[in-house]
Amino acid sequence: MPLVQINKLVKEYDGLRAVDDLDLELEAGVVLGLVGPNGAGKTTTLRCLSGIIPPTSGCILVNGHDLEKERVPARRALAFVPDEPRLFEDLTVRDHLAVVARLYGVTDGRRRGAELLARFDLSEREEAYPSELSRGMKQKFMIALALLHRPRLLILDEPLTGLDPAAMRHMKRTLQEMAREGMAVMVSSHMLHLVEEICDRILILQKGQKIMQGSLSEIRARLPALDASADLEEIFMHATGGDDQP
Amino acid sequence: MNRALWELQIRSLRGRLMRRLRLLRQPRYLIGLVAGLAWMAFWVGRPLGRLAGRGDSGLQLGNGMVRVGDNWVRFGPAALLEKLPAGALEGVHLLIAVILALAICLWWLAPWHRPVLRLREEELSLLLAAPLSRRQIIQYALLRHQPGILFGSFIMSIFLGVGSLPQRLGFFFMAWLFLSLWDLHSTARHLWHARTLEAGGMVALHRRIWLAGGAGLYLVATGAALYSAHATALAAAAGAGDDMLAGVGNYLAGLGSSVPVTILLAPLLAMVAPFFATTPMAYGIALALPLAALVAHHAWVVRTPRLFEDAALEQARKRGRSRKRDRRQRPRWKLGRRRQPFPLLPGGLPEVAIIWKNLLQVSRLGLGTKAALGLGALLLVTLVPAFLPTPTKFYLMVAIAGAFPPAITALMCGLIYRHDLRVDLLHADILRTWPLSGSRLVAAEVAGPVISATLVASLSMGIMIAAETSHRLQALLAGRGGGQSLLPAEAWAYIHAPAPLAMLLAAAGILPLVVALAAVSSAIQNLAVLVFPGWVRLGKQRRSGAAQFGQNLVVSAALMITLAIGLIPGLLVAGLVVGLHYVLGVSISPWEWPVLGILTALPLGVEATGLILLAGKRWERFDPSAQTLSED
Repeated sequence: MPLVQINKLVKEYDGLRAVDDLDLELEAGVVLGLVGPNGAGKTTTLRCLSGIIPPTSGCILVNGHDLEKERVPARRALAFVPDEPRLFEDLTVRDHLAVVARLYGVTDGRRRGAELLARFDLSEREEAYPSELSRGMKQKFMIALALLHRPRLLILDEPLTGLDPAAMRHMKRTLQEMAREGMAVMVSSHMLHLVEEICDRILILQKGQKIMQGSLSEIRARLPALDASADLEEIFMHATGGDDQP
Repeated sequence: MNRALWELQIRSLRGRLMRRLRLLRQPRYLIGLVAGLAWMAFWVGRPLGRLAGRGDSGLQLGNGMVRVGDNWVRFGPAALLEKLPAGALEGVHLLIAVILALAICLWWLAPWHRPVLRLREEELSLLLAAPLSRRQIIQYALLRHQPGILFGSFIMSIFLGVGSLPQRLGFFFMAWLFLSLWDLHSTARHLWHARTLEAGGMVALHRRIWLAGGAGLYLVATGAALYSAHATALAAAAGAGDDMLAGVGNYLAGLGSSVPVTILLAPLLAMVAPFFATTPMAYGIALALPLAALVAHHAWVVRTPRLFEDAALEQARKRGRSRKRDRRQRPRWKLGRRRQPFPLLPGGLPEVAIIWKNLLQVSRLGLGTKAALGLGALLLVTLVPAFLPTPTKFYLMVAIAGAFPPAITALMCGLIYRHDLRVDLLHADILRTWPLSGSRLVAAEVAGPVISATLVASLSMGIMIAAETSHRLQALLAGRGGGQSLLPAEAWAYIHAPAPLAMLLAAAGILPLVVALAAVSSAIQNLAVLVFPGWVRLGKQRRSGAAQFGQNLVVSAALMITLAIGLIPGLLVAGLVVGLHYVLGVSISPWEWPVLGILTALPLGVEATGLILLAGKRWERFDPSAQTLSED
């Protein structure tokens, strides 16, 4: 049974369809890259999937639980890292870990928190307030926080923005490791070379609709006009008509 | 000012207004507006009714008259002023000048200041890079304050103005002049502080010493002159005999006639003189000085040589990220950062994490430490006065001072304490992913303010108990016996229990009411923020301004209605119990007080639960992307 099932997802804002009839399945251990031009509905899809915004219609199952009807078990299975890290200004790094550990009932929260901080090179910043962290540090900490309760599905919206090259490499490794451990990872990004590097499967969205999905080779096979060595950027441009734009 | 800046100002205002109006397309906002307007009409309509002067009912609001039997009696501020002697108005004028003098001196002596320009980061980025003179940017920043000043003047003229429409228009203009002057003076003061900081070293020290010395000397001289005038005025008041109103009038007239005080306060008297002008001619003449002061202040501010750009940008950035005041409250040292309201264990109810987080946002001091400090303070209040020749009046004052906070903190809990959804909604993206049902999340959000209000109320009740105990202890130490109470002896005749026990039982009876009232008050605010997120200001800071005023009015109206609905059944139940005792001829035992408290609180508790469930449902359907969620 797939870990994530999205059936006919629709999200409308004032009559405008941000996500249009989207169907998707995601297995455990897979890293799915979500790409598309600006306004394609990537962030809206991820926010619907993480339960932040209610869909206009359609159904989302996470780990077999309906996100709307079985809110608590569905949310227990997932973690979301937004593109803009918004932490609680009055809570230190340690406080954030304590709150999340209690919310998700992570009994070994303290030990796991320390492990994650060490893994993301943040051990020295345990007593720091968010305002004392750089953007990259915040981003890393948000991911550490998301991993604290060992989610089955990790959703990341533009996770590599603001990271230095070393942190970026570290992040790529981490995401691949997570997938190897059996976690499903869903990443949206405009950095196509990185998506190509870390994702097993790719979903291309345009105007809220799925225009292509599959592994890079599968997608490439569906576009005979492109040669066999075409990278994701070429595929993306071809699929979304980016080449036609001035 | 540059035309483009006018354009920017007008377009910004129009944009803000349009954004608000667009919200009215949603029925709940429209209903909210109608309710708010009705509420406003009730309050504003009454003073406006005075202008209309119509109506033949027993209560003629228009003329400020009420019919008692066959006679018409005037009421309201105008009627009160009519009864006072002519000279009394000068005394009132003088008292206002005294308050102003004190406020200005303390304001100048205060060590804090803010940058001259309080603009948003995006505004500053646009303006500082544009080909505009510094003066034009300052004028733009000052103009940004005007909508608030105009609204404040309107409200002042509605509630404080008296007389006909032209008189009220005159009052409105003067209120605007006064508030604008205060705004400019305040900006000038910030400028002075900034320049002093810039000068640094001995120059800054010298300036501060001169300022402190000058202000101190002025206050001492004015205080001495006032004290002398007070003695004379008291003698004049004594001449009025038993007529209290005439006594107050004579006192004020006596104060107003003091020449030294009038000389010392002359500039401030001149600034508010138009408020007290009795004829159009006097009003026109009195306007001259405040207008000249306004022009002078404006020139003072816009001609500043101070470099404000860096400070303004830094401030805007800070405001964009978080509140400066909050950051100051954060401990810098490691141990301080580890302090927490109570130890948060990883296992157990997840709601506790939210309560813990919200309490931590208020203070890192542990609840146990707070309780210990509170008990220590109560012990001091009990013991120290008991060993001193403390008059009974002091104890009464302390007891009365302790009596208000329980009621106020409980009723106003939602307005006073904001560490709930109004802060957390800014983090809706995080909260919405938490594995908690809506009602449990809202209950946890409501709990923080309720705990804070209950702690304050408990401390206040402790102060009352401490005052009573200390008074008894003092009598005991003086050999007058331990039975001397602050309550009249007749009251104790009905209370068949020893005083300490009776006081504790009374507190136990009040506490459930405090908790229930605070829960209703806080739940309403949390429901309001979920129903009208576009209207409720988010973030930790309480803000002033028209929007906040309107919001407070609407929420206060809702609170009153809800409290009335919740209190009536509780009071009926309590009344039934009291009535039953009366019929049976049995007095109510102090042991029944806690039960009565719980019975009265029960319907309120049910109501708070209902509100939380409603807010929980709303939270589950809440769509942060469809709302404007910002601190602006």
